[in-house]
Amino acid sequence: MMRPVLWTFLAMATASALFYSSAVQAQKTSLEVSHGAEARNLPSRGLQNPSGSQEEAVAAGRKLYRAHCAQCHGFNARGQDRGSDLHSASIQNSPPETLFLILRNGRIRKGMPSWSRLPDQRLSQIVAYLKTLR
Amino acid sequence: MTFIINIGTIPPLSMAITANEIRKVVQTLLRVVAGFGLLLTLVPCHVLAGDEVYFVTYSHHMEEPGSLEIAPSFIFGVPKTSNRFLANWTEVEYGVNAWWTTEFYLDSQKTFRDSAVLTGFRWEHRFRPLANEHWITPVFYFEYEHLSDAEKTLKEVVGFDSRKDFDESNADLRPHTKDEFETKLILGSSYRGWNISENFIAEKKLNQDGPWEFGYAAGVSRSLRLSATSRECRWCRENFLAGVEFYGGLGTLDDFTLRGTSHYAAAILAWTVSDRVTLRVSPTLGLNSRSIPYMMRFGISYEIPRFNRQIRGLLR
Repeated sequence: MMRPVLWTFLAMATASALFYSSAVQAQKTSLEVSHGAEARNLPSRGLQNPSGSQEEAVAAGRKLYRAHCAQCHGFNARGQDRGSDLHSASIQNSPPETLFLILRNGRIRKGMPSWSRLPDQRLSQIVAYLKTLR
Repeated sequence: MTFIINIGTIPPLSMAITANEIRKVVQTLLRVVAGFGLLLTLVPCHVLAGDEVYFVTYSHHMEEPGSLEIAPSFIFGVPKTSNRFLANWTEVEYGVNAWWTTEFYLDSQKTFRDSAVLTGFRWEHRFRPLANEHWITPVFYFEYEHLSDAEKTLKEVVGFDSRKDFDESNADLRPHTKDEFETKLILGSSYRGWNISENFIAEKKLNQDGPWEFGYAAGVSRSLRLSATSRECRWCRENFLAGVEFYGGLGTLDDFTLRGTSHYAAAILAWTVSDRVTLRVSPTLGLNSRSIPYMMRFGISYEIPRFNRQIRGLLR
C-alpha cells in the first residue's frame, strides 16, 4: 500500500517543484521586460542573424510575419481591431531583445499568443523585419 | 480522379444496416481526405507554419485566439489476437483566447471482419495559468468523455489498458458506454529549437465504480531547419518537423505501477504543406506483450485563421 502512495507523492512533488521553479523564472523575466532591463540575461543566440545577410533575414522575417502575424496586425502592420500598430514609436523604439521576448512570451492577458512554437532563429528574423518598418 | 480504399466487408449482423451506412460514411470520409490531401500538395505554397507534431502528447502551445483547426486523424492497428482496425478521431479545436483552448472530438472505428461504429465524443479544455514562457511551461487540461468500450483511437493509454481490450466484437463492446473525466498536467519546454513535452494523465470513470487511472505521454520534436529561408517553398527542410513520443499506462490509485501496463513508442514526421495545412504520419510500436505490436497513425489538419471574425461577418 505504501508503494503507490510514495510514487504518487514523488510525482506530485516533482511536478510542483518544476511548476514553482518555472513560476519564479517567469516573474524574473516579466520584471526584466517591464523595467527595461531586457538587454540583461537574454538569449543572445536568438538575436543573432541566422541566415547570413541582414537582407535575407528581413526577407525571411517578412515571410514569417505574413504567415503568423498579419492575421492580427494586418499585412501592412498598421494594426487591426485585434493587433496593435507595429509602426508605432513604442514598438520601433524598443530594443530588438524586447521585441524578441514579446514574441516568445506573447502578451497572454492582452490576447497575443506566445510564439515559442517557432525556433528562436525565426523569431529573430521576424524582429529583423519589424525593425525595417520604422 | 477516383480513390478507392477498401476497408473490408461487414457480416450480416443484426446491426448490419447501421453498420453499412457507417461504412459508407467512413469510406467517403477517407476518399475526401485522400483527395483533399493530394489537392493541397498541388495548390501554390504561400508561407509556412511551425506547428504541433504529436498525436498523443500535448505540448504547451495553445491554438491561436479566434482560429479554428479541423483535423481528421486515423490509426491503423494490427493487434496480435484480434482483427485489424482503422479508427478515426476528428478534432475541432478553437482558440477562445491566448490562455484558453477548447477542442471537440468525434470518434469512430472500423474493425475488419466485424463492423464500423461511432464510438463517442470528447470535449476538452486547456488552460495556460502563467502569462510568460518559461523553462518549463505548465498547462492544465480537463476533458469529459462519453465513449463506448469499442473505442480504439488510443488517444491516451491509462491504467491497465491492453490489446486484450480489443478481443471482443464490436457488437459486444458497443452497448457498454462510459462517462469519464480526464485531467492532465502538461509540461512543455522549448530549448534550442527542440520541443520537449511531458504529460501526466489521471482519469476517472463517472458512471462506474473504479479507481483513478494514471498514464503518461512524453515527446521530443524539432524542425529539420531552425531558421526560415526567404523564398517560398514547399519541400524545404524548414517545413518538416520530426520527433518521437512515448506513452503508456501507470496503473491505478490502488496499484500505481508500470507492471502489467502497455507502452508505446512512435516516430513522427509532420509536413507543413502551407500556412494552413499540416500532414502527419507516425509509425508506432508496442513495447511489451500487453501492447498492440504495430500501429500507424496519420492525419491532416486544416486551420482557419480568424474564424471568429468570419462568423461575425456572416451574422451581420
